[in-house]
Amino acid sequence: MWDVLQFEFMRNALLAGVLVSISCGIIGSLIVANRIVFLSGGIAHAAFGGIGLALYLGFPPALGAALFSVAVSFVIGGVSLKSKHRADTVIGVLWAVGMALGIIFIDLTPGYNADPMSYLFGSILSVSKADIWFTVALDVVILVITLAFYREFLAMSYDEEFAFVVGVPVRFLYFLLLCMTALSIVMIIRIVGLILVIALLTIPPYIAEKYTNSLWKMMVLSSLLGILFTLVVLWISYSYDVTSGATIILVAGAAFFLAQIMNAIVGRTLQTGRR
Amino acid sequence: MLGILKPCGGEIKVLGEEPHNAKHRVGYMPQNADFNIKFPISVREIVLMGRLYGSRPRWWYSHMDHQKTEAVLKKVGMWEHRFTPIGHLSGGQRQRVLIARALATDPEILFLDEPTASVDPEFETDLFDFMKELNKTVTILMVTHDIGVISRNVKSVACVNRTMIFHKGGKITQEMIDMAYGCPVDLVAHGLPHRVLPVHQGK
Repeated sequence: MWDVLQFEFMRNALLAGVLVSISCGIIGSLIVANRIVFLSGGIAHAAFGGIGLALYLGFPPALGAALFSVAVSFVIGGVSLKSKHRADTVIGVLWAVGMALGIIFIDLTPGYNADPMSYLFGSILSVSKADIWFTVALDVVILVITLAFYREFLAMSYDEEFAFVVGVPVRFLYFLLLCMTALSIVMIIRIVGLILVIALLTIPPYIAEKYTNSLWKMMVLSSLLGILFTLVVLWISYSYDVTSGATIILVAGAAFFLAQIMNAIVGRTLQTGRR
Repeated sequence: MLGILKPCGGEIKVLGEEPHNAKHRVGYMPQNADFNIKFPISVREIVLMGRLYGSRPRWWYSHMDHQKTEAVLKKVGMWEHRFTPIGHLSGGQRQRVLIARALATDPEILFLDEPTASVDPEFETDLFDFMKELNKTVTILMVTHDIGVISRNVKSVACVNRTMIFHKGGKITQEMIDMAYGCPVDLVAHGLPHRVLPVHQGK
């Protein structure tokens, strides 16, 4: 099994998977805790507009996606603070418009022949050295910010109103979180593609939440779960030659249902035990 | 009054300051203790939240913050449960935790929004005794719809309906309440809320 590591693309893929899992675990936990999963989905899909725009104008798609998704996250964030009741509608609109823009720009790009599928479903086996350095930088930034504001993020996630009353800069942290989410999404798009981003962001934290009793443990456990999924998936997709992005989600999904079933069984035995 | 909502008109002053500036001098306990109960967080972590910016922003909670947390948790009788996840507690216990969190902020005024809404009757009595003790050092402002729970320890009453004050008791002292109702109004009045209200309005 270890002989696959002699290929550079395999080593890169492994490294990228591990690094992305770390940021995914941290940001995903915060997204789940703050209940902004749908919002993050909107950012991910709107990022496609940025990719299309970047291809059309001829600069790196990752840069386009990063700028575009940060901009969209601020728009969505602003709307969700201003009119909470209609935020989901606005997110839905931006979600679709972003995708449409991306497709139109790709159509307009002369001589465009790259495969849009690689953005929709990712391609972990084609990550470059530059991608890896970008992910390292992103992980460091996310780790430092989360450590520095851990207490504040915890307070905001658990009880936003109280956090505001004691003087936590809730708005600033909210936008900071959206910004970090947008940047992580750009990197996750490389791995699993923008359609499947949400699954990788939410499934590990959701499983982890049930087995942990604090936010930081949830972050650590979901990062570890993410790493486990990537390892299993790289092995599967190498052995059976299937799309890695979709396989990650299927593995994570299987783990998700397994955890649910286990919970149901454990919960039932505990209840009967009590009786 | 906490600076969360902006007033449509008029002006709000808390302790002589804009609500925004008086934030650090006010303790607040929300009405609903049942929010986010699946959140992976322990009792101690919740109460420590009250120490955020207690004095000045720091990298991490200080020894003093932990001492204060221990003190308030013992005060509400939840110190044994300090490592328990919030979801494993009963409604009344959660309420106590939230009161402890409000106290951890070292408030000059304590705002309690429906403090008895999800509390078991036993703790309700304890709560009022506890608040009486507490009231020696801090002002307590309690919002309630349950008129029966207005205990004899309440020093003044303001009735608010449809954002309009239709009866303001200002400074109703203990003697005045006794006179108005003909008897000391305490928790025994639970069964008679409808009789209590008309007396109040007719005054």
